[in-house]
Amino acid sequence: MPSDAPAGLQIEGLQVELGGRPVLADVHLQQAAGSYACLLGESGSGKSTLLAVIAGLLRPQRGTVSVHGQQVNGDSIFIAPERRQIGMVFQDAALWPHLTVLENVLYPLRARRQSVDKTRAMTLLERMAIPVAAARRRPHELSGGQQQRIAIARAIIAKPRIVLLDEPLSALDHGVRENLREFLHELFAEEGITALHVTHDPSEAFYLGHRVGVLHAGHLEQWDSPESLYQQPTSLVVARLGGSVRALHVPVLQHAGTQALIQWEDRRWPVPASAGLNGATRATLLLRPNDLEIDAAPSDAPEATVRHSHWHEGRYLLTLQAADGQEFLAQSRRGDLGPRRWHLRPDHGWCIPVQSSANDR
Amino acid sequence: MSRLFNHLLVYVILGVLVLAPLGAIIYEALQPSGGQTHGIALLQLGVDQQFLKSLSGTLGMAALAVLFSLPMGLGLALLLYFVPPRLSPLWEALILIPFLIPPYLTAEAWSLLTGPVGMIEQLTAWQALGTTLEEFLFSLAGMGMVMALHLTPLVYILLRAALENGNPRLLQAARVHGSSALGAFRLGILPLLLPALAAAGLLVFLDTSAEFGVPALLAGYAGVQVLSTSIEAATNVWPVDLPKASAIGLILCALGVLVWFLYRPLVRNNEGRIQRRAPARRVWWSILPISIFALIGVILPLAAVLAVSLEKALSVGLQAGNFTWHHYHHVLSHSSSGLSALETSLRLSALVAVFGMASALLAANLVRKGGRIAAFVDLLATLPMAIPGVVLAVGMILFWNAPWNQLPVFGHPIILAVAYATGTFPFAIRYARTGLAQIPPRLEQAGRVHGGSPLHSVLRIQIPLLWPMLVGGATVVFALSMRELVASLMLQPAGVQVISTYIYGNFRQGTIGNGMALSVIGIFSSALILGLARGALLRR
Repeated sequence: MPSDAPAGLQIEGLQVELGGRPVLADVHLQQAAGSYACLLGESGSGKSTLLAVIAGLLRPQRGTVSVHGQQVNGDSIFIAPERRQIGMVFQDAALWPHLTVLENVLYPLRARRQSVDKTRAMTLLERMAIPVAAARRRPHELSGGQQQRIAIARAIIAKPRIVLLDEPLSALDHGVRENLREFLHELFAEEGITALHVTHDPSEAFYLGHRVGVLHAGHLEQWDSPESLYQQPTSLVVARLGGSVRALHVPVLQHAGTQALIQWEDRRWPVPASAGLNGATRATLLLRPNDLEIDAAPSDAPEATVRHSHWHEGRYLLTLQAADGQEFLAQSRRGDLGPRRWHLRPDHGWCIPVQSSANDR
Repeated sequence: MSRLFNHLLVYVILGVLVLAPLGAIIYEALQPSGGQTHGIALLQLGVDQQFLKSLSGTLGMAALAVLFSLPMGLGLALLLYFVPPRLSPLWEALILIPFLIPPYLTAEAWSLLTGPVGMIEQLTAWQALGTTLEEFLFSLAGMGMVMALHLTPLVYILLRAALENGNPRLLQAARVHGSSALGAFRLGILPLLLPALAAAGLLVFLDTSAEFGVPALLAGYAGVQVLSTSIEAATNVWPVDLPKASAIGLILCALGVLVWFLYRPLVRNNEGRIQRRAPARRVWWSILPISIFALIGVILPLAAVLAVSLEKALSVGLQAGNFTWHHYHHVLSHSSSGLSALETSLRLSALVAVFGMASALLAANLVRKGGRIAAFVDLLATLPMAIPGVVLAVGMILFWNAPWNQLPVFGHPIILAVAYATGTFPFAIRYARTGLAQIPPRLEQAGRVHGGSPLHSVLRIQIPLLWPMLVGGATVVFALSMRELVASLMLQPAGVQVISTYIYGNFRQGTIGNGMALSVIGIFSSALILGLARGALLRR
């Protein structure tokens, strides 16, 4: 949806090497102004490096970064972090222990020589559910969740052009994390601030992001809507980061547009397929647990052996082995081991070009 | 621009403090010795019998100090780690005190305790003990022992840190899998202790070989010569031979640098990771060896200093009618040179503490950035550890008294501040670096990202967070400057004395009571000033 308004964040051809080792390789990304985007990736994938580059804490070897139309990194351009008008939330809150909560929140206004609006700070803290009395306390006197809320207040008080969030919830307990996730969702929707949130938790990324990207070994593998990322991943890596999945090698009988006809367990199955399949005779079939029907499978459906089962989110998650030895996952109300019939649900599954590590977990 | 200014400032500071005196010494050592018209003083040392005797004296004293201090430090560390007595923090504080007493004062105190009219013979029935101890004190081994008493706390600190760094689970794992207590110690503790023992030994060797005060007081009677006193003699005793002093200084310095290069890698991995462990079993008997060390290293020397400062006549001894406040009255009287020495020391030490720590912070910030320049700055900043005070003093004489150098530093008390700042710089930068390492980078990054300029981040975030470490470093710099002897002796302008040279001079002249009274006043006044300053600065 091209428009005249500049993108909230635009990155082109970004390349970063640290100690001679490539950390980010040719990253391109465009994020709409006022949107909330998430970057998913495992440890060492380059997520935090990307944020450090956007923040100006690290200089890239190549590429440009623009925030709301202003180039902040380029061939001969480097704008210092303090002049980029951004806010940042760190994994461990990074609140200054020698300052009170209120002084922490007011810091960006003081540092930028803007008028020190204590009323706005107190209103923000109130909105963050921080008790008024806590404003005079030191950060270490508050809980981890409260500290992270204060860090969020500090990040947005000076009305930044973009807020960068570096795994802000990963150090928190499960309950606090869920609570804060909902809070972040509402807050940024209301404030309309552009936000880029880095995480390794797919549920967090899918909950918060209008757009979600997957970084792997310094490459941005996919930058898409949460649904597309989950249902139509471009690679096995993206599929795995999106949630439980198994990859199977299957022969392709026909391929046209976004549909393929595959053969598996002596049956023909029509499945959605990537355009990149491009008439190949073999493909990698990605199956998530809800792609298969097992409790109500027809009596003539193929049979597989349940090798393992465990209770997972209100049902049993079964690991099944097909007659050809390939493994896949399914959900069921029953968790007994042994033979079970299964059926591939219509319009479920996703075929992509053959991936070398298809059967690796 | 500010980054360039920071770099330049650090280079100028380190250039003036470290490189200039070193360069001057190297240049002078390559000139002919005094009385010669050609040749190189450094090479002429090879045939100088007096030099060779001094070299063997220095090596012997340093080796003996290592030999005495390692078992003492190891024993204390093991006792306080594995079987601490009750109130172990108090005992530990007592063990650390000898390091705070200047070694020349310990030597003076022990010379008052031993001998036929010494306090030990006055107070005990063992008539031969004082004489035997005196014979021991005024020997190479006695000099080594005085240095060992002074440096055992350092050995203790290093070994204790190594023990604390160890993983208690390694010991548990060894015991669970069948090792005896001794076997578990060999498997889980000894590998950690060996590098620390080696490091401690090298540090003791380094400090002892550079020591001037103890040999200056004891070596003459012991018939021993050491390098540091030879250097001082070559600069102070007619005919003055600066090339020879520089050449010996260069050898002593090379010895120091060699030991220091061996030492540095051994402590590089000591990150001070303190692990939680189950509280150790407390036993009463560990008090015995700890008290013996405290008695020899702290209680007896301090008691001797205090007693002599209150005695009318030294030869009369500890008699009821022989006590007086006269020495204190004399030292504190308005026109007393002792009082003015104390004032000068306090003023100079405070100046060095403030400017030393500020410069160290600048240098530490530069070192933290990493890279080759940072490594060079780090090397320069810590190099004075390996340069003995006496060598530094010769270098400063050569540099600041050079005919081409018109700056009015030589002959002004400020030269003492420059010498103290150089000698204490490694300590100052160690505190600044440790403090910086404790600040997670994110706290400063958060400051920059949220609009703070580099200067704003330093003033509002770095310095407040570093404050306790900066105050701690300044305290150490102050204390070390207060007790510095050899550079003060060699560099003090005519008519100016500092506390250490006053005490040393009085002892040499036999007016011991005044010197001891000023020692007591000096210890209490600097403790009081430091206590008040720390209290005020750390209350924020």
